[in-house]
Amino acid sequence: MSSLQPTFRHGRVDAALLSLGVLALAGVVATVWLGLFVTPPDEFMGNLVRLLYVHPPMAWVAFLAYGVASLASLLYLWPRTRADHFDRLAGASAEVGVVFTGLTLISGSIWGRPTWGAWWVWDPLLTTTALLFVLYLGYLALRRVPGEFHVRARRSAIAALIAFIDVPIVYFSVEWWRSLHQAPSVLNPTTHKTYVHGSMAWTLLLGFVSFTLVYSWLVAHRYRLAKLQDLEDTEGLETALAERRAEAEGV
Amino acid sequence: MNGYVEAGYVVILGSLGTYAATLVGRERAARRRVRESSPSRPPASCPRPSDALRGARLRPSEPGPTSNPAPPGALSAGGTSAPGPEGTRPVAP
Repeated sequence: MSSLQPTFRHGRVDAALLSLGVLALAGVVATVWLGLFVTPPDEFMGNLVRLLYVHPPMAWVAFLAYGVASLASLLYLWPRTRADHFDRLAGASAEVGVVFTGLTLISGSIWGRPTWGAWWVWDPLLTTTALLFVLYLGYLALRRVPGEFHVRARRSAIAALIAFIDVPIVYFSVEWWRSLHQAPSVLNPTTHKTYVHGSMAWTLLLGFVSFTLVYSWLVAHRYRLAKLQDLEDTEGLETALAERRAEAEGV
Repeated sequence: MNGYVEAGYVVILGSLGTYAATLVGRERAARRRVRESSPSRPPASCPRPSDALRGARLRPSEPGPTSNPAPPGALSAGGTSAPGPEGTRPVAP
C-alpha cells in the first residue's frame, strides 16, 4: 500500500514522458513519410511493400509487450520481488500488447487481400497470432474479475505466463509448419541472411524504434492510470470507512 | 499507390491515436477525481482499510444503514453490500 502515493506532483516524470511522446511522434511521422514517399516500390510486391514498414514493427511491439508483461508477472510471483507495481506494469503492458496485436492482424489482413486474394487464411502464423490475441484478451478480462488485490494479481500473473507460451509458437510457426506467410526477412534464423537493404532497411529499422517508443509512452500512461485507479479505490474506501465510523459514533 | 496501403496506414495511425487520446483523457479524469477526493481523506490515525475491513466491499456513494449501525471496530459485519468473494479490495464503480 505504501506505493500508492499521488503521482501528479512528479513534474520531472511528466517532462520525461512528454519528451518521450514527442520523440515517438516524430519517429512515427518520419517512418510514415519515408515509407509512403521516399522508399521505392518493391520488385515483386510493388507499393504494397509500404505496409511492411509498419506491420512487422507492430508484431515486434506486441511480442515485446507480452515479454514485459510476463517478466513483470514473474517478478510479482517471486516472493522476494513481489510488489504491486509489477502487477500494474504487467496489466499495462498486456493491454498495449493487445492493441498492437489487433493492429498486426488488421494490417496483415489488409496486406493479404491484394497479395493472397483473401482477407484471412487459416495459416499457422495467422491462427496462432489470433489465438495470442484472444489469450491476452482473456487475461485482461481475468484482471477485471473482482477479488482481493493479491489473489487477483497472483492468478493474473499465472495467466500471463501461460499465455506467453504462445509467443514463441507464433514466431517459429513459419519454420515449423508449411506456411503461406513469408519467413523472417530482416534476420532469417535459418539462412542468417538479410533480405532488406538500403532505404527500405533504414525505414523498417526506424519503424521498429518509433513504435517501440510509442509502446513505452503508452505503457507509462497506462501504468499511471492504473496507479491512480488504485489510489482512487483506496481513497473511496477510506472515505466510506470514515462516514461509517462517524455514523456509528453519532448514535 | 493503391487503396490498401493508405487504408493500412489510416487504420494503424488512427487506432493508435484514438487509444492514446483515450488513455490520456482517462488519466486526466482519474487525476482530477483523486485531487477532488483528497481533502476528504480521514486523519492518518484512522486504521487503513486493509486493517479494518477484511471481507467488506463498500462504495462511497452508498450510504450506510442509519438504523442499527455497526459499532466501531466491527465494520466488516455491517457493510452496505455483500462481502466480496475473496477479500478487501473495493470494486470500482
